[in-house]
Amino acid sequence: MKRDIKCTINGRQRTFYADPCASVLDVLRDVLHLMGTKEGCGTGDCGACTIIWNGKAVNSCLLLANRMENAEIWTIEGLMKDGELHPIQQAFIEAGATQCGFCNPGFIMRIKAMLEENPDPTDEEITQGLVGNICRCTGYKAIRDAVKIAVKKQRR
Amino acid sequence: MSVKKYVGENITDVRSVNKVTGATQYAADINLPGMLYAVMIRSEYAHAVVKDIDLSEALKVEGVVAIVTYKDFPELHFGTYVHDQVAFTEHPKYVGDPIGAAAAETEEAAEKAASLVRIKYEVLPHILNPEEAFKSKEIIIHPNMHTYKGYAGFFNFKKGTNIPNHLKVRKGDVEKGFAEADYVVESRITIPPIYHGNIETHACVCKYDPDGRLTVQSTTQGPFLLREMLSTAIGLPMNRITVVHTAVGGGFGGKISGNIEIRAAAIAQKCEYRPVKMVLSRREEWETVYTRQALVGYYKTGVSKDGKIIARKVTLYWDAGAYADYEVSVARSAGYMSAGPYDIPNIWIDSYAIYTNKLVATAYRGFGCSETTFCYEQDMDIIADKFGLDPVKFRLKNALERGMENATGQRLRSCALKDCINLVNEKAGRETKKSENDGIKRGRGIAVMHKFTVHTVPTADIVKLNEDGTITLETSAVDIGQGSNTVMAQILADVLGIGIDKITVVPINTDYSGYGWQTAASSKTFFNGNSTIRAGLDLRRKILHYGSMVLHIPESDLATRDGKIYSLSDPDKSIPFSAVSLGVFNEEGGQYGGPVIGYGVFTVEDGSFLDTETGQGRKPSAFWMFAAMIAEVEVNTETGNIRVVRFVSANDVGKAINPKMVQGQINGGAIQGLGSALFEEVLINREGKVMNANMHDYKMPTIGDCPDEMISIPVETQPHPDGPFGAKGVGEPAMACPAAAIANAVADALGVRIYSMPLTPEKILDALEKKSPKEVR
Ligand code: FES
Ligand code: FES
Repeated sequence: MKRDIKCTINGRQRTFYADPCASVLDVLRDVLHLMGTKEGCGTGDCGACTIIWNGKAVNSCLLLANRMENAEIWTIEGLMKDGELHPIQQAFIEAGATQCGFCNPGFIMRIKAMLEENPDPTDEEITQGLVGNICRCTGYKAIRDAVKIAVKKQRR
Repeated sequence: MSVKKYVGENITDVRSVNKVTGATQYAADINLPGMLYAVMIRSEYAHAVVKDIDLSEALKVEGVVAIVTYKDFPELHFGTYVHDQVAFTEHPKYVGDPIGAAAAETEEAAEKAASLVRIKYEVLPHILNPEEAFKSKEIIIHPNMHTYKGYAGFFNFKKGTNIPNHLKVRKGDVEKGFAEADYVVESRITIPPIYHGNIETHACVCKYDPDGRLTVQSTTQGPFLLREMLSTAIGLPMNRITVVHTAVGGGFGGKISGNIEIRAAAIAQKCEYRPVKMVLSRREEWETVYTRQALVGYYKTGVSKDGKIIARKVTLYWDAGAYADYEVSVARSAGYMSAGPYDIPNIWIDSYAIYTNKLVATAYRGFGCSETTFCYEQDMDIIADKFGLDPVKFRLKNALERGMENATGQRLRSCALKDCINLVNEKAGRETKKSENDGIKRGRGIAVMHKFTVHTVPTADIVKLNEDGTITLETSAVDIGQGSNTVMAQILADVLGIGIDKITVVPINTDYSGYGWQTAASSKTFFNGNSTIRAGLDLRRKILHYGSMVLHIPESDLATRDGKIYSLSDPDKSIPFSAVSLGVFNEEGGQYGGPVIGYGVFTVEDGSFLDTETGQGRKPSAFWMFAAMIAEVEVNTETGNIRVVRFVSANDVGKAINPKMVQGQINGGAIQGLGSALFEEVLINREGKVMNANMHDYKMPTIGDCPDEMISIPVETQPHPDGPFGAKGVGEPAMACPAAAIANAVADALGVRIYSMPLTPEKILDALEKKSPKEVR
């Protein structure tokens, strides 16, 4: 049964009326019209729906909307600040890590959470951090490069 | 005076800001007021006739607006190359074949209604194996095949069989060649179906207006082909159909043909002029839409003592699935390149597209290349080994080069194959570090390839000069992520003499964009590059003409730079493009010129068809692409696991308009190829049902599967005389070599040969157990 759910999304307090048993992904897209978060599988296998929930990167297709209550959520729409791209977004462009772009929001959110926890990951840590996100276009090399560029940018 | 040039530079993707901010609109992101949701009603059987269909329960579901089945819809045949499909069928030919569709206020209601449709079938015997279907007289999947319409050269069918196309190549005397050969090697390959793996599934929104016009927004690689298919399937003239492509979240060939759009448009007719959205779930996409075709192939190669290949015979059975879709084209084109990029005097090829009761196979990045390369490149190593030749030298000895004729008799005007081979060999270094620790064996393998493109698909591009002097390019190339928008902007900026930031490339709307068939066959840079150049030159000619009237300087003394028209002899005399955008005035105020548009088309004027009996033709392909790759692997002999540790690739691209994007294609193709080599396989059970239509049971490569080192080299030593700035293509060749190179590396490491994809741990262990050191089949 639908009810009011209250949480912070991209730094703003929101209250919305939604089915607590729906997936967070569906609520973001269908109720809040935040279309940047993508569905690639709906079963937790591709990472296209990655968001940051209470500081952790999660697959929003697997999280139920009742877990949004009082949570702090960041989606791809919340990354640009004052019209400026986030360093990870800039790094994606510079590295050529955008081909079709469909996986990009998920990767970028995953990388954001990863770098917040570990600002200078090793190659192996990057692999471990990103193994749950699938990109069919880039062959991952440019994505790995983007992480390294982002690390440098954030250090500055 | 130095002028900024864009061609050859690593310009970043012109649409990337939207992509990284999540603002790019894909088809599933479209929501319109009053929108309904449609869901397909699909066959549960691989081969059946529908006897009865009961909608009564389904129609009771709250929110249902319409249900249509084959009964409500005229039987209009359509198809990509062969008109063998109908929107909804009474005679389903695979599990998932659309029988009808339901539309409702919500997706849930539509799904519920579809699930409540009761269908009684008469189940027919089905056939899943292409070699059996090839011979079958009892089970004929399309009994009316001979009545279908199809494109000449692509629909060389045999009446009363399951064979919609047969491509023949006959060159020299192959039997004489074998008789003269000192060594003959024979092999058989089997390749399973695999998925395109686009992360964005198929999605579209269709809407009718009361005046009968249909608008379709879709994630498609080919808006014009889609319009043509809609027109045939729905029976609407093309001027009443508008197709607009949204951003495409990965295509790889899987979004080339019209599919769900046709069914969504069919049901939209019954939906009170409201927009109808259809989005496939991952499961539906993988259970019922498209795969790369399975293949069973036979190779026989004869070689002389001195290491020259003198004869090759190839028989290929391509598993089209239930409808011909792109497969007749696969059988044709993949057939004629299947002898490999070698100079072989005697060639015999039979390549068949074959109907089976499986889900439909369609175009897939470089169709036929990675499959046949997997076979002929393993054979090359077996032969080299037999004669004690170095695999690299053996390939160099037989490799095609510029000026030579290939299997179909086309003389090559650009071929850097030998440069590619030498480059990867150099970059890979001489020594392979052999590690024998803990049962880990290391090996290295090389593979080379060639790839055709198309020649019969004209493109047209339109360039508009805006009132403020900026430029809008209405391209007819669909950018599916490969970067054609950026590449076209680079080309146009240089042709016009204007900053790239002043150019916007807009997506295709079939109402006003120039014609462009589809993003396929690695053809966009070459075809649209050329038509963009011509459109740019047309625009430039006009603005120089009008500029000359304003500046009172002869055109011969004028040039363009930085968005200005200036005098060559006195560069201070200049006017901005904007000054001529709406025309120029004479002294009395008469206006001349007017809104400036450049138009450019490209066709292959010297192209030719193939002879149906011999497969010979002067120029069936506008150009040929070549590549070489070396792979290094580590194989764990305990577990059978393969790890690719290094890829070195060189691709003959003519000219890299954007080297970084070219490398992006090479890297992406390499990893897609790695997936098909090591673990990707669509599993279909005896009833014809897919068993692993989800992303945990069907594994695609992750970052963890990537080699430690990937070197990707665009080779520019052989610019194509007809290419824009010499460019050819790269998207598909990028995927052709990995499987073969990996298989050769595994053979180098273990001394066993595996001719069936994917190289799973079970096959490795099995082959090791059999302990026949070579040619384990
Ligand atoms: S959509 Fe959530 S993991 Fe794929
Ligand atoms: S850029 Fe297309 S899936 Fe990653």
